[in-house]
Amino acid sequence: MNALSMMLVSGLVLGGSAAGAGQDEDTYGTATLTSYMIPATSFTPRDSATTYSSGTGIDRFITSAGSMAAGPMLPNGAQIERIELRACDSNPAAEVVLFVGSCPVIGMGCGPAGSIATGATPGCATFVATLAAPLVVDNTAAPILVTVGTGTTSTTTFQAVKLYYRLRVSPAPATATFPNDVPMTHPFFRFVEALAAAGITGGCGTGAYCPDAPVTRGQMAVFLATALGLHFPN
Amino acid sequence: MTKTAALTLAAMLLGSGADVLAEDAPETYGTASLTAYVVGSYAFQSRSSSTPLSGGQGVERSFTTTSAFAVATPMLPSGAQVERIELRGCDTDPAAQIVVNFGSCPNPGGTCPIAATITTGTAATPGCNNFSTTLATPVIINNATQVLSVEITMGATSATSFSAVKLYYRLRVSPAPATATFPSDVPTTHPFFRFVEALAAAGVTGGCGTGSYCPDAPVTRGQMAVFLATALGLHFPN
Repeated sequence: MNALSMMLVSGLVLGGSAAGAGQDEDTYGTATLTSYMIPATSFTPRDSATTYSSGTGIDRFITSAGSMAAGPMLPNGAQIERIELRACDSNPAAEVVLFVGSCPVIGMGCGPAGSIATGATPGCATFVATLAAPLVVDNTAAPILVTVGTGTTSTTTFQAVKLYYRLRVSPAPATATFPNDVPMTHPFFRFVEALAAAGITGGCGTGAYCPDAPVTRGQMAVFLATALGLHFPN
Repeated sequence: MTKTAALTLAAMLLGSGADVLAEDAPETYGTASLTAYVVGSYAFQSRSSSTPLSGGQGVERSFTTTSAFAVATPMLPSGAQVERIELRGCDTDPAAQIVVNFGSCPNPGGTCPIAATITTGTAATPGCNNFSTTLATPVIINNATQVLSVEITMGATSATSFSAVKLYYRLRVSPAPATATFPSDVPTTHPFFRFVEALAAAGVTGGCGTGSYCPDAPVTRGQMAVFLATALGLHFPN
């Protein structure tokens, strides 16, 4: 058999292996919702004139006019889809109000993304709201603001705010880092580019990533240790 | 040609091809990229209850009666290397300025040496901007012995305000230890020694037998599930 026919056979068999991959094709997931907890003790008054006091456990309430705020840290690109307020409201004349938004312009107000108000006198409960449009975290340009207002007595208190977010993979860039074997049309293009952008891989040679080569346990150790920054004493 | 012969031939071709490819094009491993940790203004507290911070527009905060200090102590993983800091603030006061001091505090009761400073300038009125500085020497997080400190001071009016301080850090892999956990196949001279040791120190792997890690064995999908789930602590209900 000459080299050409060997390549042809190889191509045929490789084609077969591709068909095999099609038979038990991988199903990739979308990361699930995860909660970011902001306890009441992480909130501080928005104004120097605002005072607060503690309720039962770690609950807090405001004892003068005003509101309290927190600055949560979520990873860039994460998508906040749902917010939750753990609060008590037994006062028909006051309520606990939660506001979540992001602040794209320095020195200007913040755009609201979602809010919750306890309204009537629902007692102690977990109040939930799904955002009409998810709030995508933009740590390069728009800090997140979370504020809570209460009445001025212990009949309206809050314990914590929870932000439910989903990690996302960065969108596909306009050019390929590994054009030889992971061009823009490759099904894994977006994911391989994300790994390259994060500095986890530099590929397997000029312009190549070798997407179909198996991972050895040694290589995996490098990828995982680099991606997670393992492992310094604490 | 029979199907068996074709498969055998293909296996030979794939085997040699893969070896040649590996030799011709060794894997290039990266260095983790810079990531931003945002310390929002509401993660800061005034250093004294007698000098409270006031809220301004949106997420901005300022001192409105006395020029004073506020401080935040962000939590970054041990070993992470802070290389750049950024102030997101507004200075429209020609007589005052915003100063950010970033450092770490080695001892309770001791001072916190400053690693980097940002100032908006006393005479200048640069307005609302991102002010950034690259650290001359990166600060390496050491949660075993130190606590981080981000301190900010401003004028006594809302003409100097801030909305966040950002710490740009890079995750690193822990240095190679002196002795090998898997001396049989990942001795201290192995090119992946440092990385395999990091995985072992993190409790992600216990190797593949006494003193062995099997670095050249492929990872199965089943093993990958164990490694990823263990390393990331997946996945409890929220």
